[in-house]
Amino acid sequence: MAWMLLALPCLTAALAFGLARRGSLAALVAVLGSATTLVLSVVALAGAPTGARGAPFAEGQGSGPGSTLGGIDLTLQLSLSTTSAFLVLVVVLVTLLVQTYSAWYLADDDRRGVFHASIALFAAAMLMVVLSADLVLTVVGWEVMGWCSYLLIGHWSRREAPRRAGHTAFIVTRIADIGLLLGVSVLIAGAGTSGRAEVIEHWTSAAADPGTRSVALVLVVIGVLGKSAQLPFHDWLLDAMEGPTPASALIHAATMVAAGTVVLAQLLPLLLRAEPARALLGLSVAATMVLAAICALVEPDLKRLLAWSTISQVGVMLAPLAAAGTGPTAGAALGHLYGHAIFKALLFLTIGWLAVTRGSTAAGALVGSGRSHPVALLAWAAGLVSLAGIPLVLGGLTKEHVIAAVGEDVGARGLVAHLVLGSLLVTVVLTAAYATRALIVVVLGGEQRVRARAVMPAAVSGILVVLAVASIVGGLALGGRLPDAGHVPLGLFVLVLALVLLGVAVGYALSHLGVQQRLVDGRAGRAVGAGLGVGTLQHLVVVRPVTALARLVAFLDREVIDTYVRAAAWGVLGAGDAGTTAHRRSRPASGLALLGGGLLAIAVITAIVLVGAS
Amino acid sequence: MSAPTIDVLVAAPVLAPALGAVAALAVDAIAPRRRLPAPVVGAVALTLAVVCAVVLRLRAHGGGEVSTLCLTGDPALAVTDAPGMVASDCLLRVTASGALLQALAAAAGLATLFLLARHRGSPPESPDSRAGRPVADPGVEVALVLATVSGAAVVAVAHDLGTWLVGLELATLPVVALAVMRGAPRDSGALNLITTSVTSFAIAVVGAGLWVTATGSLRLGGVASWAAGQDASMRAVLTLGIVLLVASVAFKLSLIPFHAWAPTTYPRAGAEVAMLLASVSTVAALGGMVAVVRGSVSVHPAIQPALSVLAAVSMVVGAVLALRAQDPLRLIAWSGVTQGGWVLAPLVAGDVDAAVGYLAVYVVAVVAALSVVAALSVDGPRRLEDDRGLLRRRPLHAAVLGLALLTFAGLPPGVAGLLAKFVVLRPLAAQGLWWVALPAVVAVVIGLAAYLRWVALLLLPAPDDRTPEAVDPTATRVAVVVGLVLLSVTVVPVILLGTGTT
Amino acid sequence: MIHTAGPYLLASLLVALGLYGILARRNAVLMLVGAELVLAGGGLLLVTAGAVGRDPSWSGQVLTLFVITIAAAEVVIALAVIVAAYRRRGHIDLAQDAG
Repeated sequence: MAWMLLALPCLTAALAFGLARRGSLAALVAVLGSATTLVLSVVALAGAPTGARGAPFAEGQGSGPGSTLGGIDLTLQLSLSTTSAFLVLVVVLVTLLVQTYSAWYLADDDRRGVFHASIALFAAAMLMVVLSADLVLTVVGWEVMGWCSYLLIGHWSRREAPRRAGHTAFIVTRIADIGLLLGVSVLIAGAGTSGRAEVIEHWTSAAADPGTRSVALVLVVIGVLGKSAQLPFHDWLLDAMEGPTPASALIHAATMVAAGTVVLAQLLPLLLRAEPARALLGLSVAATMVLAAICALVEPDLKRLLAWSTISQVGVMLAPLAAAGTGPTAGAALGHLYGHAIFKALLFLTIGWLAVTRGSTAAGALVGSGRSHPVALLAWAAGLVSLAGIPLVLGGLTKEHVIAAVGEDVGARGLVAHLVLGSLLVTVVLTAAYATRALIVVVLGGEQRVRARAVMPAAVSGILVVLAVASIVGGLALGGRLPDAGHVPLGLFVLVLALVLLGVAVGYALSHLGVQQRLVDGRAGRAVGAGLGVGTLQHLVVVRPVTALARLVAFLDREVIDTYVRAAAWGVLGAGDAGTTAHRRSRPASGLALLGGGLLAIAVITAIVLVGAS
Repeated sequence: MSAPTIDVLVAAPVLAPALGAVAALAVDAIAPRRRLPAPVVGAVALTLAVVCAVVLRLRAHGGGEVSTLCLTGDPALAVTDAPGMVASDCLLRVTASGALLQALAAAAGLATLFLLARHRGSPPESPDSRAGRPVADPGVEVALVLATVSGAAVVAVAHDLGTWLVGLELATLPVVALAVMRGAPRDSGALNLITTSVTSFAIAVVGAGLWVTATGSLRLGGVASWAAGQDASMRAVLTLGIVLLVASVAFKLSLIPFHAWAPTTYPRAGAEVAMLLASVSTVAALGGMVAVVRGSVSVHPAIQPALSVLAAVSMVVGAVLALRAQDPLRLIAWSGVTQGGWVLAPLVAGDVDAAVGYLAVYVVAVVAALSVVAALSVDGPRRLEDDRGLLRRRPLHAAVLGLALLTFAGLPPGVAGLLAKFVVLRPLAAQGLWWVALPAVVAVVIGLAAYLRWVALLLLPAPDDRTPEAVDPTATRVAVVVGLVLLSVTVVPVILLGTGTT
Repeated sequence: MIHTAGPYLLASLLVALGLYGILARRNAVLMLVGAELVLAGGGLLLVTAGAVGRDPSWSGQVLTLFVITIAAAEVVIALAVIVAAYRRRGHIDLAQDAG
């Protein structure tokens, strides 16, 4: 069953790629493929075995071909449990909605067939990460996702900016992936097998060296930080806004940025025993959450605001893995993953439509655009309500579980856990503030009346309505499917509610008092709009040394090594020319002289040998 | 002493061409105006020779030998028995490699015959040659070719000095005559050839005299020379005799420094004579060299350095000079120099089968290459640059030529050449003869450049205003047939190299 | 049976003279003469060896007869080549090219 779930998107991708010239046909194939996969994933969810406590992904019950390579046992298994089936359902649902949306959004694009194929392949890669019970397959899915993100971000490759953005995304995540690959290699080498159940069993047993385990997990965490766009790897996600909005909805909501969460949840037993890795994760996540939320407040472009928001919310998603106790960790993280996927996809798809009506995603251009269609208004509001964390809606529910998981018995867990908890609480305020800002700009801002209602295709309306409903009442789908996320005490509930209301008030005050506009137009807004200069830093620290090294190597090869080769060729050719000149005159006498000389020479050689032998 | 019996089948590869030569001359005397009968007679004789040689090879397979002309109990053939070696009573002993040499000589002679029998020959290099003169004496040319082939066939199986000397000269002199008849009007290069040949024969006779002085018999065999090798004073005489015999054969293999005639004679004598020189003459040379080396087993360590120097220098210098050749026949001449070195190299280690296998692959490839050159040279002598883009204009010829060149270079898909080089290097490496093996490797590298230059010219696109050159149909057919033989050797190298891998 | 030192000495003298003729003479006919001298020396060597040895069929001496025959054939061809070369080149100087 798991293999079928994986094979279907692959097949869809291959078919769509084959039909890429006929864009509409490819779109149809892609949509149908995603729909079939959705049906299949519902069936899978119904019949999936429940994972055991502590092993929600049921890796012990995997299926797949095995092989042995160089002394390492490669099990190459996929496994299905309710948790993984639920996540698969979420991913496939978002993929289907994105595919349908893209059929409208890219209707005039001549490369839409390739786009649909890439989306399908991306979904397949994410499914592989979710379903895999084998570290090698996880890495394969991870890398294919990285490649697909490059293809999707740089889809409008005729322009310079998307190409650069695609390269940046690929290279930054690649550099972080060095950590992931090294960490996974250490884990596999130590355990002698690549099956995750066996690896976990080996590294949690007494035979494992704690230092090596910590180092491996630190490396894995570095890889996760890169893919999840946490500090210091966050700038690729901002540049990735150059890609088409449906791609952003998929990549930056449901799949790629959340893949790190899934991997860490899968390796949770090891992570819980590796304090340095958790500390690193916690530090990065705490700083990122707050910083990204502040930046979202002053970001001039609304689509980039959503990107900052994603960075911040992924930090929230990773917080339980960094700081929570052993019980509700996975449940809280995966819960917020689910919530974030729904409401962030909704927000991205809505802004896609809004941008089409106004021609730009800058805040100044989108003022009041939400009022041109009731569905857009509803969708935007629903998504922001969920984002802000209003209690009882999906986003609020999952955020409360996260805070509860981190806050539960926080005193026993050290400084980093306290830091993370503090950052979470501050982030709640800031999130509510910028969500209010976004709502005011799109829905309420501006004095001029909106003249005409814009057209929204029925499919798009349907998509937005579905997502809006899901982001409000989607909490009902949580239940036994994800691991237990713990209990939210009443006090915490009240505290979070108070913080959210505080944040809303702050946001309203900022924009009403005009401070908001001054911040956005001022130096802060410009600095944030330029990505806080991290790109320049990376250029200095990574790009320039590497290219200088490459130039040095090329110079050595060309000037030092090649000189010997050229000298050898020159020598041989010179000898050839000399010989040819010597033989140009074809006198018989010189031939005879040569013959006589040769005879003498070999006679002398033989005589020497004879005399020497006797 | 009873008269010796001759098994006609065993002697057929020698007798058929010889009798065919006589018959061709007779036919030419009877019907001098007719062009056709003499080549037909010649072709029949050579085909018979090929078939008998193949049959002999199959019979002698597995290390045995087929012999005839046996004189049991003849006191003239009595020699001191060496330990472990038994003297044979037979004078004509055909081993598997000897039969292969005979088959090669006859087949190459057949190809040359077809080329010579064309109405117009290919014009040789010369500033004032006319484009192809009509053949004047077909019968004489056929007789000359058949005489050469029979000489080569007899040297390959010679076990005594008389047969050796006669066969060697029989393989050399008719080629000189052909060079004069077919060569460039101004200077056919025959003078270089004849002066070198005469000198070599003279040296050979002196060497033969020294051999007879040392061993007391005419027989060329390890058994015959064993006693002389043990005696200190006679060993020096024997060694000097062997050195002189080797030197006299070395010019036919165009080894350096006996090579000076080759780059002159090949271009000026034309493609047909060049084919004869490169194939039949080389086969005779190897047959002679093998006979001498086989007979010098007892003093082999003494002549090894001389042979090594000859082989190593020829391999490298031939390749270096082939790199700078500007026309196909000169390139083939220098290629012949380097391949002569390659053919001699396994004899330094004493491995006869490897040398014969290598020569077999070389002869097939060179006949293919030269027949393509002959086919394309209808309008005049060609330069290498004229072959640019040949693959587009004449794909069949370019394919055959390309395969032959890749076989020379030893690159896939010329797998036969690659395996032949491996077969040569293996006994050298096994016996630790690095001072021959390392120059061989250098020669391979330089040879790659030399041959790939030509192959690249075939493949590169030419300026569009070249019309496809006129091709000669007979030569094209010969090229295609030999190309198919080369292809089958490439696919099943065991046909030719099989004896070398046992 | 005379002492073999004499014939061996004469043979080496002939060979030496012949080699000088081959290597140092520019005229093609004189070069041929040198070659014939070398052949003579070699033939003398063969005859001596045949006389010294105990071969009942006198193979050394018989080979000398063969050598003379071959040499004759060779000289015929060589002279024919020289005549042809003279007709085409105008000279038979071995130290000059075809001109």
